[in-house]
Amino acid sequence: MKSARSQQSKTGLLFIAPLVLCIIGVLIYPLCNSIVLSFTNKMFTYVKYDFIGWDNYIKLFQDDLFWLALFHSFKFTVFGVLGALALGLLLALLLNKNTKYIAFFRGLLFLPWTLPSIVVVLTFRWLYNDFYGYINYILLKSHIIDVPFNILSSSKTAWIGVLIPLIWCYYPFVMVFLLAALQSIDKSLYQVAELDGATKWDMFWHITLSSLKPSIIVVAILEAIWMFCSFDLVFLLTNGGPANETLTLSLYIYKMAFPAKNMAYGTALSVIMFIFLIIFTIFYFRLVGRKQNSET
Amino acid sequence: MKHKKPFWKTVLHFLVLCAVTFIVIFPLVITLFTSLKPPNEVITATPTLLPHDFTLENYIKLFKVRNFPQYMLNSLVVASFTAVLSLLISSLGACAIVWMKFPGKRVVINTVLAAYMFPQILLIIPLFIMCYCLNLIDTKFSLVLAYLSFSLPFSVWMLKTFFESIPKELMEAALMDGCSYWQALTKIILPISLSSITTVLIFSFVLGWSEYLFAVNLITTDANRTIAVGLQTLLGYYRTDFALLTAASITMSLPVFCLFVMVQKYFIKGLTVGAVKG
Repeated sequence: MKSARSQQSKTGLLFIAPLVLCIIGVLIYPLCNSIVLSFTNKMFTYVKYDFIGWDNYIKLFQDDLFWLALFHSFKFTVFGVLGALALGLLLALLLNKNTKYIAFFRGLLFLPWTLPSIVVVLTFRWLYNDFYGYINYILLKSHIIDVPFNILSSSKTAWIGVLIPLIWCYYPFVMVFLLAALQSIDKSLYQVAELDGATKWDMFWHITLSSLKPSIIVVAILEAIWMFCSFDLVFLLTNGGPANETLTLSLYIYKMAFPAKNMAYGTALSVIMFIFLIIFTIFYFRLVGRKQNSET
Repeated sequence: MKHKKPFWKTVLHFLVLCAVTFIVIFPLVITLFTSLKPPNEVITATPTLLPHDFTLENYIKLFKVRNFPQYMLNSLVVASFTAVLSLLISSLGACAIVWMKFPGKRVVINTVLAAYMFPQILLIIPLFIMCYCLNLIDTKFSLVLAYLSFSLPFSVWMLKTFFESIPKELMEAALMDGCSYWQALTKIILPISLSSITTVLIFSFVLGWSEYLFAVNLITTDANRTIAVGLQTLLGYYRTDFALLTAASITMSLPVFCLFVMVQKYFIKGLTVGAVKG
């Protein structure tokens, strides 16, 4: 009996080994390496470097661009999450019907989530184009603007130009997530409320929204994590410009590490981002854990 | 108790849904139609939604342009290897997590779940250095390696959830009959998990197909470039040829769309695991 158990444990280890090796190789080791490198002065791929203690972190706290990038990251996260929640909730409510054509619309509305980021960027560049683009055409026709303008090239509006595709890529997840939650609401609650003479608005506020609340919080945190760390869109749309108006923390990490070749400083910035990520994740697991406990 | 909704309300709902859907996916609609327009209809101050003359000339031109077919082939290779490796490693891993005992199980499960939300930007610097040290820069293998760090957590979680729904007795009976774990997994468990397997394959494939950040940094020569970076190169050379660029966008997205439509239901379920139970 005992040998059978140890035999089983051996096969277990054999089966899990590739996964564990991969996780250590491509996730845990690189992460630890990052933390170590953040205390050095490593430049790009040069083999020689020295440990310089906390210097990178001291430099970082005095770096105006770092604070600016951090501020922009939070700005994008807050507005992005709010936008995606609003749009996702609206669409989820519209789709919450038991008719045949719903699957078709849900499929269409889910598409932006599956698009490769480079395609999203090309699409919006074309949409924003100041000579031949559709947005300018509509705005000019309806006399909202007089001269063609490109939303991405003005320092006041560039961040909105990035925010729109960001929301556009991330709302479908909110939509399907909240739709699943909506469909699990007990229908008899509405019937009881109707008998009690509740208005449509009361029902929406007290039944629909209050049952959705836990799901909304969970999905908001997930979206916040993704948006806080998102890189492709802002890199390909504006590359931080004009005049650093759309520089986010992930973009700053990249710019420091690759074009500026200061890998060590880049990793120090990554560590700061990682700390924020841990805070988000702890919130997330707390909530998910509590939700699962209350369900059982 | 139940009363049927008036007909006009259903119609109204349908119309509102149509209008909202059209506005929301408007960017996609114009990308599709722009790619079907002849170039002289694209560069105009009064753009129309539908092309006057439908044409496929942009697509034909695209496949003659530079190395576009080569980029597609590279992406196909990278994405396929990512998908197959992910499936192999994650099915073994999920099998061990669900049915076997081994030391440190809790730690592995928690790490996989935490890795689920790990962003690319935090891994690009250390993975670049690692690939440089291992002399893997500018190889397709480096990309597969990098993509595994994102496809594995999803795949393991997806398969683990599915395996847990399979009755325990099935595995026990197979083992009683003298199957090894490997035989039980390949002959009994995997054949009944086709929906999850397809989802895992497609998720990993699409990740490898469309990823940009690693593809642009780990690959340095044109011969190994994948389609995401290839598209960006096109943007550099044909900055104003939006007919060609939109055709390239549609060509790149079409396989992704088709694959997602196939597994939409399972995929959405997989996405929300770890957040909503079941």
